[in-house]
Amino acid sequence: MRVRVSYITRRAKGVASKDDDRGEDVLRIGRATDSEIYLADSRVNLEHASLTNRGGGFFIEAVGAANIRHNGTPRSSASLAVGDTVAIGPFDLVVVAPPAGIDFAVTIELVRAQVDELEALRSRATTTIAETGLSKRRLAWGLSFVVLVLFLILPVLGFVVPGLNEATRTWPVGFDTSWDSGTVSDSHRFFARDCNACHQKAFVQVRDGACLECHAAITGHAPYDVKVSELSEERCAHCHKEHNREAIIITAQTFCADCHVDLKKFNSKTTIANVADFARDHPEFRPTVVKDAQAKKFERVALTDKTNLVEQSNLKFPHDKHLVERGVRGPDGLQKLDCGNCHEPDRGGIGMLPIQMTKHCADCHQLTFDPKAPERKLPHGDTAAAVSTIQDFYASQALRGGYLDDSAPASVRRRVGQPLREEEKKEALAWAEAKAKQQMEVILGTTLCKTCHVVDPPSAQNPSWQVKTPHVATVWMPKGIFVHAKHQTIDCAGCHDARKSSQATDVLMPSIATCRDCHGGEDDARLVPSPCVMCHVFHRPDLGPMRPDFKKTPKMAGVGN
Amino acid sequence: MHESVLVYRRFRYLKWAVTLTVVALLAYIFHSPSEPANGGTWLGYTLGTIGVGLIVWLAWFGIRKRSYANPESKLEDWLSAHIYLGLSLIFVATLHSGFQFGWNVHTLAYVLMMLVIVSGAFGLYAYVRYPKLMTENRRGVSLDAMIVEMAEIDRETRELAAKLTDEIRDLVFDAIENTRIGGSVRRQLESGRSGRTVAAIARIREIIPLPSREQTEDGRRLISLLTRKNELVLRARNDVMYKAMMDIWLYVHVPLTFALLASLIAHIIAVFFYW
Repeated sequence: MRVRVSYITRRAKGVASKDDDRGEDVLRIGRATDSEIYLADSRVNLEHASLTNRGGGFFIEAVGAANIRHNGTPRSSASLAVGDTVAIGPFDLVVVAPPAGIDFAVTIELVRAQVDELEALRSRATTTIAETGLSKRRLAWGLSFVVLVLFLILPVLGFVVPGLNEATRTWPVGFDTSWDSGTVSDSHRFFARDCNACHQKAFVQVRDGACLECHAAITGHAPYDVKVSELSEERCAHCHKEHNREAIIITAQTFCADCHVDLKKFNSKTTIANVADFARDHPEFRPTVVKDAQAKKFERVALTDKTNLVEQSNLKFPHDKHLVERGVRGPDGLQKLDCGNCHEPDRGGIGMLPIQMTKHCADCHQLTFDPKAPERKLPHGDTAAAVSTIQDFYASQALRGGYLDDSAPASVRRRVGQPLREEEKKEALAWAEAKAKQQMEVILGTTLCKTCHVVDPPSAQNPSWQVKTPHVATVWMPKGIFVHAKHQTIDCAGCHDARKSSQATDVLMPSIATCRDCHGGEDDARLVPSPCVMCHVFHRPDLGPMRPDFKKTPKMAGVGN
Repeated sequence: MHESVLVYRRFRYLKWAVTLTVVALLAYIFHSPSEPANGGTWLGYTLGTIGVGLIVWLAWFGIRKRSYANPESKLEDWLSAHIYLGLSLIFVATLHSGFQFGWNVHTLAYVLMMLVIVSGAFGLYAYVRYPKLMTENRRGVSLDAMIVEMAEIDRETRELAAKLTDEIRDLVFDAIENTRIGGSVRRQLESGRSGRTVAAIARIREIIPLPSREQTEDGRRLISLLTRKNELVLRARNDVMYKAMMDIWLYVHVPLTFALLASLIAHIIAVFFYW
């Protein structure tokens, strides 16, 4: 068998070929110098492959795990035909048609030249961040684009395109959610996702209409005839700042004091005293005092103004006598009274329920008027009825008879049921009238009614008995809120010096000094910090709506108040 | 040069920044608005305006530093002011926020600003620390010269390895062909020797001595060459790492500055759009 191996070398001038004819059946291919086909390149194994004649044909076989590629495919062995190419390291072995006298022919050529180490190393090296393809410019524009789309374009689009924001309100995150600058107050949270409930116009501050749709009935701060631009022209949101949680209600004292420190600057006719701080600068209390109970005339009198501090309630009531240590005589003997026997708190715990004679006084102060008829009592609260009760009682006694009284004539003292003659009847009724009149002098004019009431006897101008209408002040401080319930751990006498009061004309309202025992200014560190709003409200319940001209939109009719 | 930026004109800009910070802090402490402190009080608006003015001015530095021909002001002047006033922004912006944070565009702008400041602070650190390390590491040899030497060693080791066993040749060739200086951003930020070269050295040590004296000599030479190569790999990689450290923060600082400016636009428009 003749095998021709042609080593081909390409140069600039042309192709050189060196033939080597071999006769062996097995030709070893390798880097080893004793190989039949010697391939001098470090990338070829010492013993790389073998070319073997197996009778019918030639085969290429790899030695061990050496890498050969038959027509591009890695193989461990392959049969060879003309035109086949076998890659061995950087060499290509190509099977060519054998010339005459040769059984099998191959060409061998170094086709993959040795790499340039420097080029190879440089091509693998990436030594600066810029070379990695990371681009500051692309990152910068990309990030800016994403930010602008998500946080500017989409929110504006949702607002500008009609219905778009509404359509997205059910989504977990709305287009304008990212604009929310802070948690809204608890009361407003039910519509907090709908930014446009309040923010109705772009670049325009929230307008009062948005608030008044629900809060139309909110009351004013000063009567309508007081014109103060700070009150009539400021928006609701000037004071009520949303997105600050519960801080939507201003409690800071400066908010009030800014005006009230010198109120004359805003309303020259005001009679309201200036105030700056509860501890340092707050006027003495001016409780409402009844000046004329009959005419319902009241006056605010400062506690310091002792001469005018007189409650003209048309009642007489010595607190001291009722609160004596040993108790008062009652129907069941001595009974020790305390404040709570008469003064019951109302259900809200703010004030006290009105004193009722029938409920609080009548157990002891029974309206019996004749010892001979202890079961008969005068009606309370109606002078005319009381007068006729007395008159009727003695008339009926006279006509009935049996009224054993020294002053009574025989006709009245007669046996009960014995008929009267006409003259006797006249005499008896005359006695009854005189007796009633005399009794009224006592009952109304001296003892029973007059114990507690101011009573006018009949006169030329007014021929009938008059018990003057009583009235006690129900609210001492109409513009301040004092919650009794919050002070129930304190003994009543701690503030109201009732044990020393002998007159109903006394005003038992404690002085501001008493409050200051516990309450300090807004920022007091040791006492109860007490800003204005602890006792006062801005929107006064005794006034009409803050914005009387506001009309609800039909959509919102029936919402809020 | 780097320290001189910090002490520039006897800390002139440090004094400015401290003054701004102290004034902002005092104003915040003594300001008692009727609502909780937030960006919408008069002080909030004031600090916000100062903040946005500072941010735009600081960002302008990126443009200013490119115009080398400007004789009006020195670049050190700008850089010194950029560093100190940039740091004072931490206080101005935090006080502007009134410590109100949430999942919204307003806090996004704040977070981006803080990231820009932190990346800038790292940049300052990198410029103070790495040039010195870089000089020490290079020992007067440039990165390119190291690579040229490595290539030379590669060529020699290939020749030597080819004379030894196929296994050794494969290991050495593999190590040569897989040694990479730098690479991806992550690889540039790491350093270290070539693992495959270390493995090749270890393997040659194992099989030495080889059957012939000549081969053993070649093996020993191979070991010393590969060891030298690996030292070069380490130094080259360190060099790349130091350079990458000095560069990488800008890839955060600059893009986030742009994102910050975008979020500031959104923040300001949002505030007045839903006033």
